[in-house]
Amino acid sequence: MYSMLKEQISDHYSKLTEESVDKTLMSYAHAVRDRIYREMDEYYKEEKHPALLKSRIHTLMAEYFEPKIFSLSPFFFEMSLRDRFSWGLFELTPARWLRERLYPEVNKEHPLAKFLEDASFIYFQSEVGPCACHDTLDTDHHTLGYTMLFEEGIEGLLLRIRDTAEKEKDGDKLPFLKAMEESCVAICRIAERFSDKAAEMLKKERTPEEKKYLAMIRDTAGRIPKSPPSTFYEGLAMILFTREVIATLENIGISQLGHVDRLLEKLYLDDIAAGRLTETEARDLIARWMLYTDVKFDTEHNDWPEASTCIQLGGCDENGNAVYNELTRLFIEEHKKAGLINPKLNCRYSDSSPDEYLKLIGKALIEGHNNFVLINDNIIVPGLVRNGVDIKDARRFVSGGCQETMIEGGGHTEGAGVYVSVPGLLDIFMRPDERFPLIPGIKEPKTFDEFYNEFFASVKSYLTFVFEQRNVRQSFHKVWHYCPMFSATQYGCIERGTDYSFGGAKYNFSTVALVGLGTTVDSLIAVKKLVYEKGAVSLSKLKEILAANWQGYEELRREALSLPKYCNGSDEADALASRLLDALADMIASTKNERGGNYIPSLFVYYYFEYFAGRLRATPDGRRNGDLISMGCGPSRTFTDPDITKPLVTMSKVDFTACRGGSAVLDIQLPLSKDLTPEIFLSLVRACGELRCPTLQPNAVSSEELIDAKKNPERHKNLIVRISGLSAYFTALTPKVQDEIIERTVYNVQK
Amino acid sequence: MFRSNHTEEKHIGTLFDIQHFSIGNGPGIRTTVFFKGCNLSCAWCHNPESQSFKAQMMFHKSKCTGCGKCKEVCENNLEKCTLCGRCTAFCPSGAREICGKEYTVSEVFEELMKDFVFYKTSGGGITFSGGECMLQIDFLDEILKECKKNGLNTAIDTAGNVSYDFFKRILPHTDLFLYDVKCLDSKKHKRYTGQENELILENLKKLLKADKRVWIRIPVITSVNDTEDEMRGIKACLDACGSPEKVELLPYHAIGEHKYGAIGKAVQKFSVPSEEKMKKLRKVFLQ
Repeated sequence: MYSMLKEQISDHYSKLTEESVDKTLMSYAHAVRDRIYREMDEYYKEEKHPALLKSRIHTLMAEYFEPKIFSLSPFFFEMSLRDRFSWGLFELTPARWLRERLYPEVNKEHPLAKFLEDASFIYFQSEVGPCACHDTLDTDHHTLGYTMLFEEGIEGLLLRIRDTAEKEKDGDKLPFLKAMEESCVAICRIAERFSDKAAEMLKKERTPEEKKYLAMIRDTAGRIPKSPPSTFYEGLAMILFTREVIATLENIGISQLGHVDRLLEKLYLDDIAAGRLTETEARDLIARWMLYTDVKFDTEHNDWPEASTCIQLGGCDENGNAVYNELTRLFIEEHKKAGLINPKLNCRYSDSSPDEYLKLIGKALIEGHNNFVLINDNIIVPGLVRNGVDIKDARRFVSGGCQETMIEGGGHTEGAGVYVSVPGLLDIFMRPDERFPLIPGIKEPKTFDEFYNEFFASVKSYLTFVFEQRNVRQSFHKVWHYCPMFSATQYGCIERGTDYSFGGAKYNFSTVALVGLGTTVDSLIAVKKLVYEKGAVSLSKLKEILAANWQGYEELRREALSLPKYCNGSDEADALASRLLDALADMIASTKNERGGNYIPSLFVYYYFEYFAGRLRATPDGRRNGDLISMGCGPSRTFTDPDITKPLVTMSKVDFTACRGGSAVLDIQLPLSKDLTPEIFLSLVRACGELRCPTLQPNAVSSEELIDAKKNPERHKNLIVRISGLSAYFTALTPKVQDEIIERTVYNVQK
Repeated sequence: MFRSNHTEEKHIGTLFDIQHFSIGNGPGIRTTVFFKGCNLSCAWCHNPESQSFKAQMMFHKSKCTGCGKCKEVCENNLEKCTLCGRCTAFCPSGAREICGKEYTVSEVFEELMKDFVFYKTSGGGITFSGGECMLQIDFLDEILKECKKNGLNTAIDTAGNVSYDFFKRILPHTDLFLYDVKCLDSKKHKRYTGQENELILENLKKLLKADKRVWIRIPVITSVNDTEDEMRGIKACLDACGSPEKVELLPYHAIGEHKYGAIGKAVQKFSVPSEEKMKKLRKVFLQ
């Protein structure tokens, strides 16, 4: 279906890469960029305020870009000024000028430049480095304030901006308010140019279908995004236009297309009631709206089809009423029907979510649509409230590019700014490395409690430095990161006259992703049992054994492997996990960031469990050099227990609201079986709810099919799997990733 | 963690597995307790390790790395097994495994209660299977009572080849019976299972009159009972006996084939019935 539209989209984006043989589109993009760079270089001579420089770029982009309209789609969003496969930070957009020009200057002049350079050892350049992070800012994982845009339109924002500027006596804030105003005018101008383009295209001979879509664009672009949407189609158009265009204007990744079944429900129902829309037409609009991301990112052949593009479904509205309606069903069904990978389906749920909703997800999953995460509102919402978020705002959370928690219109939570390998810290603590002076290493603890306390103190010392360094880095880089258009869609920025990067938004917390909790807990248990309880080995001998990668100590390794494990029915190990997470979370949450907010932890990992594992030496739990470590908040990968209920029951013993809204993800591989029905899936999710399991990332797979798909890819072209934070066609993945997925424990349901 | 207050502990049971999140053995999400020992020896049995009443050594050849550690630590040079467990503890790849372990009622019950929430959300519970769980009737009776005392749904998966007195004992504590029917011809039954089927069918008649939920399960084995005539016969027999709540046709699968080698037993191979054939056979019961 939609093959002609897909062809149009594919043809366009195939030219939007440097590798393309046909250079016309890239020549256009380069020409626009070069022209704007030249004009900005001139403008920079008279204007120095970064926000006004940025908004000036927006004005120039609005004038010089060439609208691209796909004549078989009623949506308008493509400026062709971003590279095809990028997300989060774009090479091509003229918005990059601010970074290009200001980065070298601040870098050279900033008194802390030397400090940052010296501090680079904490990052992943080192072969055993326990920390990975963006070298500047987390430029991805943003969400627009869609609710605000739906209520006010850009004209509403302009009114508030002008109103605030009028009242503003503090002259310092006026430039930023002026920049927001200029950006808002620019984005409206961009939309008008799409309307003009559609009108121009209509002058040529067109098919009836093309005429219909082009007329829709001609009559809508301009009014959208200026005014609030008044129909279902306009709502979809508002989301896609603002998401795509603001990302290009600001040079940031906007990972969320919004909580669509909440945002669009009223418009849909009104249209249906007024006879303006049928369900079939709504399905068609949804399909055309969703399918472009997969084509753009070429998911059929892409071995890492990350598009950082999600929609949120289900959960509740700001008053706590369950969200599940016709649109929830239409989005899921159309996504499945088209065999899409993107947008990712981030599904919120709670005990008030209806059975029908969860069975719908279960049915799609069992039929091979491995595209879902199920996010437990009863963990995320109270977690956010624990971090000071107003309950109504907390209920409006969304998740993206994978499952990073964001508050819609509530600022930027830097969902994936820093990843820290906790077993990596334990490794360096046990075997001090001169490259990591912040981890003083082991003294001579006489009891396990002493050992644990020393370890925790070293983690604290390391993380404190990471945060200090990060704060300096952030304040250093945000100068080139002014985003007046994005900020205008965040509650608080207009009234405070302050950019979100400078703390203007209502909420300002940042996230640190902790990787390898399970491996750390199992390793601590191993030290406790082997060294302090059984006396099977001394601490210094254990260090030698780890350095030897357990070689020559197979019996001891077997003993280590047979000890109690986290997520494996051991109260002792689960209690230690709870103790460690609580302490880490409290320590992290008490640390301030550079925007006046705090840090919060998360236990989602993307694919960093594999990245860090490859650099991690042998660990006390019996794991060998380079072996995989635990994923998310799940069990270690050094043992296989086919009993799915054990990790789920463990979730009830750890309070994941300690993460203050940061997501914690449990991956599970369910075996495809005739007995795995939507009803069983519903019961499983209900049990997860009762057990306070945070976020569930399921795969329903057949091990035999995965193995066969690796050998005979041509027979399994439609096989979709969840990797970690993203899904993909299994046969497009690299053999290494395929093997890692095949090796995952597939839980037993039959004997 | 749930602690059992069951204090009597009169009986000990020998089990070979306790499977959590079991979704093919009765309604909802269940835990299935596999008892060791059976008085049938079905040629297609997919759990051949369930047939012996005693614990036994299993050697999974495909997992063996040939390191020789087992031989090194065995006091009998691997020639005579006393089930001491040394070789299993030292085997680096899990190729050696002792199948069968003794449990008290409390031990099993604590394990069952860990998944209480799954039974609650799914309408599931506990299924006692085997082997033939009724052949450890004292232990079974005791644990069934404990389950009912704590409000758990219970199911018995049985081949029915035991005295009906055993049924009588457990009827008050059992919510559902999963009752196997293999074939009607007693001689054929004996050829493939080692036992005739008169007692099994007699028990089934009585059970169906006992006002209990009964699901009939028919393993469909190629060249043994995979004909519409056979199914029609079974249906007529069931119609005459009473009315089971459900009839399930379970196609033969070869998942347990490798386990025959692991316990040193010859495997009899059957082909897997086609989906098309299964549809035809299922249709018989819909008429």
